[in-house]
Amino acid sequence: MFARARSLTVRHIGRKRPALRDLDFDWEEGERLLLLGPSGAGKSTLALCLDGLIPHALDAHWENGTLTVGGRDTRSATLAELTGDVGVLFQDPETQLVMLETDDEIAFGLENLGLPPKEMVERIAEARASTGLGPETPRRLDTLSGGTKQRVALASLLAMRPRALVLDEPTANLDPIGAREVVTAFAALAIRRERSFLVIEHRIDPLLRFIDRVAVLGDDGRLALAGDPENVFMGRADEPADLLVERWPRGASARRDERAPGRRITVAARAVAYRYRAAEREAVNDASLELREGEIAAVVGANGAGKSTLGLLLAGVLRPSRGAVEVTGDVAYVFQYPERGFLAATVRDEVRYSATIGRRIARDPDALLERFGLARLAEANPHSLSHGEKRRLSVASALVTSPAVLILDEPTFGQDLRNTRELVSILREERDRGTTVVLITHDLSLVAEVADRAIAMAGGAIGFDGSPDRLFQRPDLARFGLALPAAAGAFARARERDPAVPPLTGLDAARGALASLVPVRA
Amino acid sequence: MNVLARRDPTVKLAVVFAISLLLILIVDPVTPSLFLVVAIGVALAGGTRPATILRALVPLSILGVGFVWSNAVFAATQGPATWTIGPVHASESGLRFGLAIAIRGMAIGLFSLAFVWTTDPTDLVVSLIQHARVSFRIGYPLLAGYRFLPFFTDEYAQVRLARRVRGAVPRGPLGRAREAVGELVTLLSDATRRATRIAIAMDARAFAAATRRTYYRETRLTWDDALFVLAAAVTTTALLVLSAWLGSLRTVLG
Repeated sequence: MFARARSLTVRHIGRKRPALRDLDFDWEEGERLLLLGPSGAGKSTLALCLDGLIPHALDAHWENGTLTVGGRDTRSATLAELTGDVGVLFQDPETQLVMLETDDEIAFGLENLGLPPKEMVERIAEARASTGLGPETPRRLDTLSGGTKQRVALASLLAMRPRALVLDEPTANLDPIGAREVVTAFAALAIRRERSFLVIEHRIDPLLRFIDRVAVLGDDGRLALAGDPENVFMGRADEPADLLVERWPRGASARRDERAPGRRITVAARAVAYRYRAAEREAVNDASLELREGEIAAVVGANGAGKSTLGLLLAGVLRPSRGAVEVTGDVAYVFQYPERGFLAATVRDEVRYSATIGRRIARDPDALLERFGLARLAEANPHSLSHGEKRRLSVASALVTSPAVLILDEPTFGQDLRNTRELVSILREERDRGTTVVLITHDLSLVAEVADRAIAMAGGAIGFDGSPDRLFQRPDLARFGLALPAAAGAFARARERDPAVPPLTGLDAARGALASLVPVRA
Repeated sequence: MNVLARRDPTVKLAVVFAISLLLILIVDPVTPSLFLVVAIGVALAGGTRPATILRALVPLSILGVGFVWSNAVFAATQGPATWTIGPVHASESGLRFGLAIAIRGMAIGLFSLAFVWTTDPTDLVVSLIQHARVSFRIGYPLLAGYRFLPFFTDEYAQVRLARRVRGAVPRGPLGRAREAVGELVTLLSDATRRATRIAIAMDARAFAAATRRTYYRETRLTWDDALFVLAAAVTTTALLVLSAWLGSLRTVLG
């Protein structure tokens, strides 16, 4: 047994509800464990407990129970011992790197352990090799992509030679290409089975082949269920299991036929171009499109393809260098980091803000708060909300004027499955009211689930404009920096074997497709 | 790596600091001019391109013109005016003092830039920890914070944009001040959250957890560093002697 929790109850400072409640949890030596559960279920708290940050570096109320890791009680062991046993890879590549250059970064933990420099050189070489960081990787960290930064962070942990690795949503902040990079690095480690792994992820499909056991934390911080992947995913059709599988299309094709977009054109862009000051080339060049009422259009493409710039042009925030944008009605824009646009001191004032500056309020702010599950937080400071709540608040305050056009930049970035589902249902409601919704996103699952139309950009130009189904079938997806989720790959394979499998279907089919992935037991 | 980049950062920093301190005590325009010439030479020796040096001197000299002007005019309101150009009276002593401050600023500025241009920030922090008794508990968080400096301009632009889109239109000086505070609060809350996460990530890699800490980068003080200090001292003395011989050296001491 590598780690064992018994009746573990931990409550964060300033919170009423414990993050972990009466948790009984076992993690075998060498086991590759997948930990699932909704946002706020205590997954990250457990990760922080496992490597001793709680209680040694972070204050929290240890209300009850024990946790042993590597045979040590975590409360009596030292932080040095515990972090030597367990390494944690966090979600955000930007906030877990400390140094300016790759080798210094990998050395940082080794310096803290007090290793002689000669041994550091060996361990750095070893860690770089096992994460695929070759001599061609640039030295300076600020020039690396998000996915490569995560690999450097992983290498930094491996160099410390921990007995176990905890990966806390390592791909949540990455684009599809970066996520694939990290999953590949993880797979190479997991297949060698040299240590124990605990993976916390929402995008689980590409990981399932490397997982021995699945544990699910419930909303209340208790263990909801645990078992073999096959049993957890196939055997149970109840709500916890339903929370698990990646949201690859739920009857997307069928829905599209039911509704056609309205006739009225709300946004028309004619050959718009935009060049940022001091930029060499245009961020957007000669983009033309027309959007209609009651339509959800997704703008997809790689980082730097011009998606956000196009969104800002459509919103009238940026003035085009060439061409013109015509909009009927008003536009609301929700930024990728919603907290940057918060203007008021309470959630209620934030939603009412449009009224205080004299804009026409079309919907009852309190009803919106109710609808978005924020009513009980009405008096809270917007900055104190959780990730998902901030996003909902920003959407609610955008909708209060009932805009004709709603533009959302990366709305699922860093969000869990449940938050995303809520967003999807809100977007559908808006579309049914006749709003034009523009999603700027990397998330093809979201596109498949909710978009009526996909607009793919590359190098500032629109390279594809059509139905999402047709986009997904294109062999040159990578040109747009896109990669299909693994579930979609499983669909394709299942369809090769059995032509009766439709190209895009629902959750049940996703489960069926998962069954065809036989877990690797090396 | 040129001769300047190889020098230990702490030593370089100390030399720049000492020269700057010395220059602050000097109030004639000729002595700092001599130092400015040497500073340009040092920057060139450090491998900086002439164009870069020129670009750095432009803002420094614009600042300098301001100093000259304000001193010349300000001094004339107190002492006798030497020249009168239209409604403006200027005095020669004020002009000289203004020039001294302006050229001093350019010299100190260029020495400091020559230091920045030839110093790797990681080396600087490690060297300060090893030779200047700076605690690693301060040095490393500083380095982590340094990484975020470039983000700030970007983030500030985004915060302004996001607030503008939400309808924050500042009116009047009071409105603008309130808007500035709002922007600052947003930036700070972002920065705080990020700092917290970095601190957690550092702790998770046993930062300050073990009794002894070792260093991957070794910064050893060499005889060349001693030679560098000696050369700096000799040059400084020579410039002061030269200025005194020319009869132009004036210090705050008189």
